Amino acid sequence: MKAKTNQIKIASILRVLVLLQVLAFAVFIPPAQAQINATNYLDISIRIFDPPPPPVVAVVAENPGIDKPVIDISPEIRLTESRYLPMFLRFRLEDSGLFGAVRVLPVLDQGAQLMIEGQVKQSDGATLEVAIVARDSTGRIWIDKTYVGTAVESVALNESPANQDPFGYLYSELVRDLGGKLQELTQAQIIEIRTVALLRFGYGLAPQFFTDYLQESATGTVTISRLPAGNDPLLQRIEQIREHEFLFIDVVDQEFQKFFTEIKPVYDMWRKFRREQTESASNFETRETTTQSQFSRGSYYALQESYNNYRWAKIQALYLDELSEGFANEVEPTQIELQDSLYKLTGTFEQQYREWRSILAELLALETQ
Amino acid sequence: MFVRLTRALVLQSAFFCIVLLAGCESSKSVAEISAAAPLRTEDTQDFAGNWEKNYQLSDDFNARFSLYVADIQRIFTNTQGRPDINFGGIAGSGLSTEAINGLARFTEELTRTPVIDIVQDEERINIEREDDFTLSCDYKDRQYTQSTNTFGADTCGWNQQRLVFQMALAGGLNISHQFSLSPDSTLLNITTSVSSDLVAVPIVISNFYQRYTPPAEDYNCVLTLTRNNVCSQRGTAQ
Repeated sequence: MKAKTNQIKIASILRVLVLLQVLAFAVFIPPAQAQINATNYLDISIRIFDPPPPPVVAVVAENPGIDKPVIDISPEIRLTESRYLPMFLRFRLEDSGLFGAVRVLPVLDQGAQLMIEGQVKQSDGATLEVAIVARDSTGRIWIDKTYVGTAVESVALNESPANQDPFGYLYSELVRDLGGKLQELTQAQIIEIRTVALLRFGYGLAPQFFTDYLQESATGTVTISRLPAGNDPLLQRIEQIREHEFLFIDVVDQEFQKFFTEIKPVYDMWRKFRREQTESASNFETRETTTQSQFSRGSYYALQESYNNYRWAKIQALYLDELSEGFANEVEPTQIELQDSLYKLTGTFEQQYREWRSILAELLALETQ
Repeated sequence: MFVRLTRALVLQSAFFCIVLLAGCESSKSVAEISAAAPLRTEDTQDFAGNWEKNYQLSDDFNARFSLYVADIQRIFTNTQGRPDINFGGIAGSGLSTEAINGLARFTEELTRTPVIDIVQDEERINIEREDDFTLSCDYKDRQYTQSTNTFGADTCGWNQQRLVFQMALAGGLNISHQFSLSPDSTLLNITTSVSSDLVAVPIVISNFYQRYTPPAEDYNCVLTLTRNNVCSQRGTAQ
């Protein structure tokens, strides 16, 4: 009986201790890290890709008067491509369900949880080569790899046309690589990435208040020195501003999605023509080097063959030019309402983004004065 | 007289090649060459409009070809035994019958174009030719520009008041078109010069075109990306 009474007493004491612990936890303000642990998802920011370097022309030894084809691709197409490719990657990442929000940005996102940068090394319709670097907010490199492949013409019946791309398998490989890296991370590491991302974003806007929280090593690894309190008003404000920044990105994102939908058929057709052009040029070179023309040199048929080849290449190039004119890259002015004020942003996407960030920084500076 | 004319044309072509670096600077990219091209100083001529061939003023091909053959034979006779003079490509003869006839037949077809539509602005000209590709030149403020593809290289630009297109194609085929206007701008002259590496003396054909107003077409056709050529009847709702 006494033993039973003791058991009840011990149970009561334990209950009280647990209650006290809960109360103490409620009174004690937990650091920011605990509050951020809402989900396992990491958001991704993709910076618009860098276009490929200008082509180099080499002289064909057998025909010293004739150069190899110059990949004379207009800047409009290159600009379109630098947006199209990250947008396609973005949709693939969203479809994977492995990550949170995926956003395409014109510049590096200081507060990105996972930042992806790409440099288009080669893109001529037949071959795509893109160097990708994916780095999280703590400086950890997830991917530093060049993805290269040739176009595969195929139609997947279970895929919508918007999801189909002759280089789709390269994107799948990239998503797999990122997914694999994500699997290697522990829960604590994911929370750390999210926390550091927010603190870095705060540092970008008001460095004087966030200097003490982060430490960066010589190798670029960022660690948390200490954390602000979860109810730190500045931190809460930073989170709000972060949301405002997403507001801008989401507004422009609608424009981007419209752009993507409109440009995809044109870009797909352009790439198809480029492939055909490259292929016919390659076939011609092979014929020239391996076999003799069936017509005797200088004869009417030989001259006609030479001219017709040139004529068709010209007609094809002209058609590509006409297609290129369809690549409109203007970004519409963006209007955003914030705190009862209407802001109208103009210029390129990058200019608008920078303008918006400076507005947000000014607002924060006014509030913290 | 014709000898002098052809020699003059050969020299002129060579000069223009030097001026325009047509095919001579083949190791440079388009961008490099265009950027290196001197700025255009003269005003451009306005060729814009619809032109139809004036057969009366234009060269009669057969007559021109007869003169050409007679002339080339005379040159050959005069230069036999003179290794310092070389008019032809291989062996310097320039007298391969098949090559001469082939060049003539090819030139005749090339210079048939009955109708030409020209669209031109400050920076660019598009010369649409029936049954042939559109000659296009992006001169902007430059004197000339060059482009290449696997099958050949071409240079286009202004030589004073004349617009010149020069093409150096595979198999040694060289074509030059010179566009010029009469002083009152009512006639367009196109002088076409064609040579091959077997027949180095070019065949030169001069054709004249006069302005005309094209008849209103019953159909309005637009090239679309998704449905190719879409035509609608004029006067109906589109």
